[in-house]
Amino acid sequence: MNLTSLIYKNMKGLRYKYVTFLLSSVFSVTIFYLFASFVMHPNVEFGPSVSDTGVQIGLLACEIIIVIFSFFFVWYSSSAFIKSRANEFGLLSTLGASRRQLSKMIFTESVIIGEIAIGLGLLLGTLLLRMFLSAMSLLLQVDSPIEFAIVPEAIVYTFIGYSLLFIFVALINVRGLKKGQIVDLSRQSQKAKKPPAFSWILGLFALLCLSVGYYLAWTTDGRTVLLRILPVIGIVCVGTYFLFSQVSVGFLRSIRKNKGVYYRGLNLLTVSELGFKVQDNARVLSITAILTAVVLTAIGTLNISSQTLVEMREFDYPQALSVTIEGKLEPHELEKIELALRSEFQSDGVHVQSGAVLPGIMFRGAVWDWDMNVPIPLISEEDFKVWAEQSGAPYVEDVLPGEAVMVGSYPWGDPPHTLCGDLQSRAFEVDYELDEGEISFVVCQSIDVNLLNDPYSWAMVIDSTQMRDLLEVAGPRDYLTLISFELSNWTESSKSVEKIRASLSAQIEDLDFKILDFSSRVSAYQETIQSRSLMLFLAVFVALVFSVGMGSMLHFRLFTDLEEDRSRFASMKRLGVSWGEIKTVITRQAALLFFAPFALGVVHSVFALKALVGTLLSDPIIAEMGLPVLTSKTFRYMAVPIAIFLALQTIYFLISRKAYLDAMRSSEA
Amino acid sequence: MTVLKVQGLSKVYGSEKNSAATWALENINFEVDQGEFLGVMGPSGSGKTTLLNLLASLDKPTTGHIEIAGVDLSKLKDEETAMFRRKNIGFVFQDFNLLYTLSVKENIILPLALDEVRPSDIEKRVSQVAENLGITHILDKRVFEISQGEQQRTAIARAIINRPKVVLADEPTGNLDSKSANGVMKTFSSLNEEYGITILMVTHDPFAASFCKRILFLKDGEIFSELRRSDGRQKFFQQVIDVLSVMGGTFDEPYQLNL
Repeated sequence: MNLTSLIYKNMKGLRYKYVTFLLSSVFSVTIFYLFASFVMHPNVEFGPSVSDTGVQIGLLACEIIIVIFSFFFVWYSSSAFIKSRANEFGLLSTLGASRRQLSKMIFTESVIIGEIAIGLGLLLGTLLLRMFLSAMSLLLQVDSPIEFAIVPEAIVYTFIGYSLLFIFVALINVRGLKKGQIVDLSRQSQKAKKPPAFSWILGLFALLCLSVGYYLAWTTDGRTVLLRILPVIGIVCVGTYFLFSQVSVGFLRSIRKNKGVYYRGLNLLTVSELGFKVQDNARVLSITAILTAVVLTAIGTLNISSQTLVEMREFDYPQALSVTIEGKLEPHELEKIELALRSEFQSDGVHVQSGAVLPGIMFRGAVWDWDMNVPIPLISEEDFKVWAEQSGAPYVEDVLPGEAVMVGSYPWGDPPHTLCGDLQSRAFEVDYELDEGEISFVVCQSIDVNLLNDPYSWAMVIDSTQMRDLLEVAGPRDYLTLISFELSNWTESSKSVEKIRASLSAQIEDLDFKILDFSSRVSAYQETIQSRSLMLFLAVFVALVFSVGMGSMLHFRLFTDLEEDRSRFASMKRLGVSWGEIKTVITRQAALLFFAPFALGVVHSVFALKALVGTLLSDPIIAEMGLPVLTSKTFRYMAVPIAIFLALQTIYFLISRKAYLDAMRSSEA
Repeated sequence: MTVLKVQGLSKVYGSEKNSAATWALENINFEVDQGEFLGVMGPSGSGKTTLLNLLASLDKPTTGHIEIAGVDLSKLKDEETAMFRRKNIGFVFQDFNLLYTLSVKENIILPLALDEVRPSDIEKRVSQVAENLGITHILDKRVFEISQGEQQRTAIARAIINRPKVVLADEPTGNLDSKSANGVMKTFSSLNEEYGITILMVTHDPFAASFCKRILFLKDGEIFSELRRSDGRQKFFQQVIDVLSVMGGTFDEPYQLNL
């Protein structure tokens, strides 16, 4: 039997261990390739979506994180793989295999597995890219940000990069295989293991760190955030580590003291086993907890900002659909238009909350937005009353001739100061130019009403009789029709809005009139979402990388103890502990390994997001925008990423548990 | 009263039709009564270990029956076997088989905890057993902090705390120095005499065997002879040596003579 056939037989015999190592390598290749083919994609490079530098910096940062992460990940998993086979190497070296031969065998194996992993990773990556893009466009209800394409550069980079990485890691592993170590590793380390140490001081210190960190995060606002962010992260990391290495042991001790619980069934075994394991695992557990927190916070931040966008759109666009038409439409024409719009929405399943058509006139003159140079329309009191009833707006009290009530809304919460100064303290006058002469109104009151979208967001309500007089002198181009619709499911209205835009403009052109403004909340929203989808894409990506990495890290951690556990569980078996009971003990342990850091990570991220919200709310503009949603809904936004993460973690847990139990069981036979 | 009954017990490794098949045990019959202290001796390859594995239901016989406390082991399902073993058989192993993650006391109470005995009862029983075995002072220590003799006595305490029908001991002195071995065997002896505990011990050590009341000698998978103790231990020891020399064969481990 030569070395090649030994390698082949090894691979066949130790299928399970090889498959674990192979799969984690494949994952890492897949992630890198997916990312690379995204970054090097022609659409992305030349498309408008990557125009802002923020996104480019984000891309670069992600790329670096992925490279660093996959290096450590491949290193970690391959050394765990080698270590888990210490017995085998020990046996081979006792049988006379030289160190050179062993090194050669390990090196060849690693490289073969690496190349297989690259091949599978490229294949899987291509498949996933296809699925990912479809899922993205489905979820975001927009066209896919980029088209599916196979990017040759990405394949080349992945192939070369990972070949080098695997060779490098194989060399590190071979170097680490010192002669004495083989014997050392193969020796059963069934030596007396010290019980976990516990120090009250360190335990209290951990709790103190976490509470101080949490308190500071909870009370952070815009002024303190820069000062606090780094110390808080540091304190919480330290606290996390000591929580796992000390507080957990202290907690298990207190269970040990409670005989009623401790002496009950499997608790005795579970708790004592955990006592030994939790301290060994403290490092992995705290790293996982912090990574979980980082990823959840990142996703949460993104999620909040994109959800905030929705709220901001509702703010910027008081009406889901608002149209301003220039020209004198007869009442029956108005009615026809309104009915047409309603039936159009209805046929597309869009629910109309309120919809109204409001006639008015507009003379040159009083302008509130100098950039847009749009005068404020005039509306008669009786027309406004009808509109207010239909759209559920507050009604305007009797207006005297020569006076006006300003109605409307300003996205940033204030009436136009440029025009009226401070309405609270004094009334002011607005002037309009007529063909002959001028007309002035005294604005005595301002009412907050969601009228139309910018720039027709304000109007003057005047006395009905005075309005009739003005209609006499108005020219054909002074007549206006203001149409406003509020829809309950406006995010789904994009199709009908587009149809309405086409049909309405045809209709109006037939009448030889003009549409001055056609604005819908949904189109503005979709533009933003589309540009944000890139960021979301990246966030999901990085989250996947971390999640896969953490899952595999925990998986390997679990398997490091396999040999030791095996002999201990064999002892239990001889005492009449049934397989089912052993299974329960193992399951509880694995569950703790997988879910304890996750739970702590979730708590961390909640505090981190509270700090973020505190910072955002202390920003004067955001605070003025009101976004009370930010505080009340923030943690609801978190539920989705947490649920997804939990699902992934559960899948890893189930896979690892199954693999572990299988490995345990196979040793029995 | 018969506690353990072995009838026509055979164990074949490999296929029966195959010429390479090995008969590890062939048609073994014996009974153990309540309160007996039975030794099973034999050279290596005589089938001692096979017999013990079968009695412990860690392995299944090719033919024959084993009855412990009136229950036929072959009729138990896998999960039931573990339960049955836990409730009716106490084990003492050559390597002690203590769990180092547990303290001495926790090791002893493990069988009771698994059976969900009330904590107050557990406390009562453990202090009683520990007193009987003289290990009260080490109860709160860790396994690696106590001597090997103490470890084996801990294992004995664990074996008897559940009040099993029979205690099976597999070379209990195999890993011990002569002084500890003496102490452990005296412990077994007094448990048997004072508390009437039924013990079946497999050993190759004539010194350990001399503490038994009756010894079965196995050779090549069959019962070669049987010896009953009537006089003092010294004389019994001499008788054992005589039988062994008649039997011949090699003993797997060199044994010490403690004269």
